Amino acid sequence: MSDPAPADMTVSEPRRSIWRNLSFVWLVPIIALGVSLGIAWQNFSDRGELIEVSFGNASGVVAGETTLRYRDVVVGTVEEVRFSDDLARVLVYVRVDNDVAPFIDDEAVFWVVRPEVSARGISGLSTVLSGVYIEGAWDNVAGTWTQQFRGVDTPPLNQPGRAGQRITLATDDGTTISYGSPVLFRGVEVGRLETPRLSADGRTVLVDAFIDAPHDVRLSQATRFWDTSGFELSFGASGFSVDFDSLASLVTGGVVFDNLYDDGEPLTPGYVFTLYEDEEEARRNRLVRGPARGVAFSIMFDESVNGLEAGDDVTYQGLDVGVVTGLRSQVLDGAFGPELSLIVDVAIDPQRMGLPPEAAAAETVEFFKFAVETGMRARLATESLLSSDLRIELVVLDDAPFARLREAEGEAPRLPSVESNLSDFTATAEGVLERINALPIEEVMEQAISLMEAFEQLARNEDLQRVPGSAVALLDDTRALVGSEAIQSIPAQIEAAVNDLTSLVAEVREGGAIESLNSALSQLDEAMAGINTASQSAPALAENLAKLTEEDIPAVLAELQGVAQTAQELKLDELVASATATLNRVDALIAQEAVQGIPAAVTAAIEDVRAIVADVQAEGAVQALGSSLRNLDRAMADISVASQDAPALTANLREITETDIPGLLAELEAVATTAKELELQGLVDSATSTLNRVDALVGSQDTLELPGTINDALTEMRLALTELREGGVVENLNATLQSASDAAGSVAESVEDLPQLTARLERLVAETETVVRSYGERSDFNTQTLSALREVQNAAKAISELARAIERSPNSLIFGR
Amino acid sequence: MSGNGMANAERAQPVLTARAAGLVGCAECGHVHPLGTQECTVCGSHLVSRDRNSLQRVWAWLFAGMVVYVPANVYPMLRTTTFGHTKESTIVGGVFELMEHGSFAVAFIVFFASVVIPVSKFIAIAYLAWRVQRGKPGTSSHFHLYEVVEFIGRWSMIDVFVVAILSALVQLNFVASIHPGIAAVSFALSVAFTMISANSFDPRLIWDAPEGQKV
Repeated sequence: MSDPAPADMTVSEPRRSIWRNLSFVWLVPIIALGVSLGIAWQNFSDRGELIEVSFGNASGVVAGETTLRYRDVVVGTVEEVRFSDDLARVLVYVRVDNDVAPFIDDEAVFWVVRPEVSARGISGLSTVLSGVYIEGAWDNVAGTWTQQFRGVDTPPLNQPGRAGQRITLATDDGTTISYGSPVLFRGVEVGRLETPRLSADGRTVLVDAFIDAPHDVRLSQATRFWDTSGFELSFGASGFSVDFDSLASLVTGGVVFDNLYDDGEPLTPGYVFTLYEDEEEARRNRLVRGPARGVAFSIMFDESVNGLEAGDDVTYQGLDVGVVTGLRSQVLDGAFGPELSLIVDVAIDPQRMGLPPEAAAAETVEFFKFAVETGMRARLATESLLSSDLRIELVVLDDAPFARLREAEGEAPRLPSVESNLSDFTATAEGVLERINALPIEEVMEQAISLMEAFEQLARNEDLQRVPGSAVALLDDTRALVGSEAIQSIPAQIEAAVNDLTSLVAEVREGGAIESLNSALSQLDEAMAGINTASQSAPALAENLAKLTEEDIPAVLAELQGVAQTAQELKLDELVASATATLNRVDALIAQEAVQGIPAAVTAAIEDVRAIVADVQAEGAVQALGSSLRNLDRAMADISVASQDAPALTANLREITETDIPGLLAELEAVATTAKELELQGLVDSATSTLNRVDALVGSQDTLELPGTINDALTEMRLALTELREGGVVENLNATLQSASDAAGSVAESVEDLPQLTARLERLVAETETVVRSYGERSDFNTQTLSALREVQNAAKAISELARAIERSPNSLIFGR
Repeated sequence: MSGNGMANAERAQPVLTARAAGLVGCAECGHVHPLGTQECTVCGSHLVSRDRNSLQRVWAWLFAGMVVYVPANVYPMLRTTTFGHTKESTIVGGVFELMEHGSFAVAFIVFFASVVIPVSKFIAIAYLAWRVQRGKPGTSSHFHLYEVVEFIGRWSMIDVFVVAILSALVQLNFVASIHPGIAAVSFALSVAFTMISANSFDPRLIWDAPEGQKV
């Protein structure tokens, strides 16, 4: 083997395949491509659904920038903004995120949120810098996919998914309500107002409100809404009052509602609430009253309607039944050429007149046609005493001249009017003063004065003063009688009579009368023995009596005790005092010398009596006495015999005791009760007063002179008695005295009546006098009355001026003059 | 580009390459060694007379750069938020916006740096690689072209720098804030890929084509 030289290696590069040659670097573009495509695909698949929302204008909406937000979270972007084919709407195409797209169904609402600066605050502030955005609202239930929507201009109050109730309010004046004004319930915001709009006929402003969920159950037909916008300044008798609600409602206006009563009927579909001006009006109008519901009438007035304005009330018997809708003037052909007349247009609510709520205008007119023919008239009336505001009053006048409801084509039916009895304050004040004037003050004063004068006259009465004098004269006469010598000798006569009587007794002693008496006594003794036997049955009687005593007597005693107590309570003290006083006076009377002389006179009289007795003695009177004693004796014997029957009598007595005495006691008890009930008090009072009177009488000067007079009288009387004894005139005198006594009693009685009579007479005279005097021109009373009237007149004038001043410038009440 | 004209004009002058002279130059330090030396005696780096794989890398990176250049232009480069108002702008959109505002110079710079240069690079690299692939002889003008491409490539990053600086500086919350978009990343990648592509190109291949045809 040779050493072969290595052959030259022909290094030929192997033909490498493209794939083997392929560098790993190629992965880079592939990955880049993959990533790019991936991103592109992701972008495409994530870009969401396109929806179309049309708006009236799309101010601030910029394609690619403006976002769609749901609860302030961006859920989409505007891709394109363009016009609809007829240029009527702006179409905004929004690309919404896939996750919310299923929920955007046909209930979804879209609106553009723009910055808004209102009195209630600033909203949408973020959009000032970032630009507007579109806000969407939809519920949380996925629905049918819809692609085309119609956007709204303002955020809807009842956004989908928000619970609550949408209501409509009607009002006359929309100036105080604005979009977004709060609806308050007891000061709590429970809803908001939407934008006010005009009704189809342009007469009413309608505004929708949305009441949030828990509070919408309060709504019923009893609910009343009223406006709390602004503040209310009222001036009344209680002074000024400023009333306003929250500051927000002060600026933006607010609506408050409340239920007038519970259990109101539920709302009917399409129910329209009336928005009242203030709470007072809302509460007053318990019945629904909408201006749109009124039936138009017109009234022509001949007098000035100054103070009447549109919106004033039309009342019937004080109840609001309508409202003044306008004032105008009209030229009418009158008797003396064209005349300018004032026409007031009113709207009457038939429901408030008691007509059915659904009553048509024709029915209401028909009703008024009848009412006018039966005397219903319209007239002006003042709103209140102090204001010059007027209202229209529908009144039924019985004496109104016949009139008809005037109906003309194309014009509201015309109610006839009557002249008002407008009474301004001055007239009212005058009326009041007239009333005061008409009061019978004068007569009352006259009566009072006459009464006083009557009293005075009575006191001054001369006759009354003369009464004691008369009594004195009477006593003088008596004294003259008593002072007669006959009476003076009476005591002596009596003495003689006594002496004769003594001798008569002596004779009796001598004449066997004693014996007769003795026998009579023995008889009596026997009778007593009979009685003794009778007393055997006495224990039983005693028992009965004891029983009676135990049972009934206490009651009787109690009654008697009561009587005693009553008697004790009686003003006996006074009586006794009066009696004592009287006695004292009498004592003093007796102490006088004249009285001292009376016994002597009496002695003389007794002497005369003695003489008479002596006469009697002489005529055998003692014998007669003896026989009479004998008769007595006999009678006693009879009694003795009779007493034999005593047991039977006792038995009878017991029976009587048992049966009748209780009844008797009961009667006694009744008598006692009656006695207790008797007006002893009054009796005692009368006695007391009588004694007082007697006291006064005795105390009078004339009475003091009385004893002397009596003394004289007694002396005379003695003389008279002497004469009488001689002439048998005593009997006559006695009779005469009796008559005199009677006469004196009558006189005394008449004297008692005399003061009354005098008083009456005096009164009569006084009245006559005062009547005459009061009519005298220059009398005091007259002058006083005149001046008083003058002052009242001045006061009336002053009030009248004040009223006129207030009427001219009511401000003066506040700021002074 | 007047590449063809230049190439035709310079074809007359044959160029003596290092390889033809039996030498291999170090790509790093420039030291010349006899052909066949494996390692540079000066810096120790691997010596290769011709890197035949470079064309593949060039093409790959070039394609990658072109792919990511598409989203860089389609997607927004900047997301500017001013007072809550967000605005996204792409490169070209931004150029037009600048022009609308009258900033023509700035618009031109942005347009030049973001559109003209990258597109020119794509074209230039593709042209050079295509010539080498086809074995067409290169001239010095082609080499100049390559040098320009390699030099100017990094300036394309000016856009990315602007975005990065703005994003870092303008962070004023609500008033104004700037965030880079997807396009910024894409554009940065595109520039980076293009630069890698340009770097991957072995410029010595430009001269080799006639030789290669001989060999």
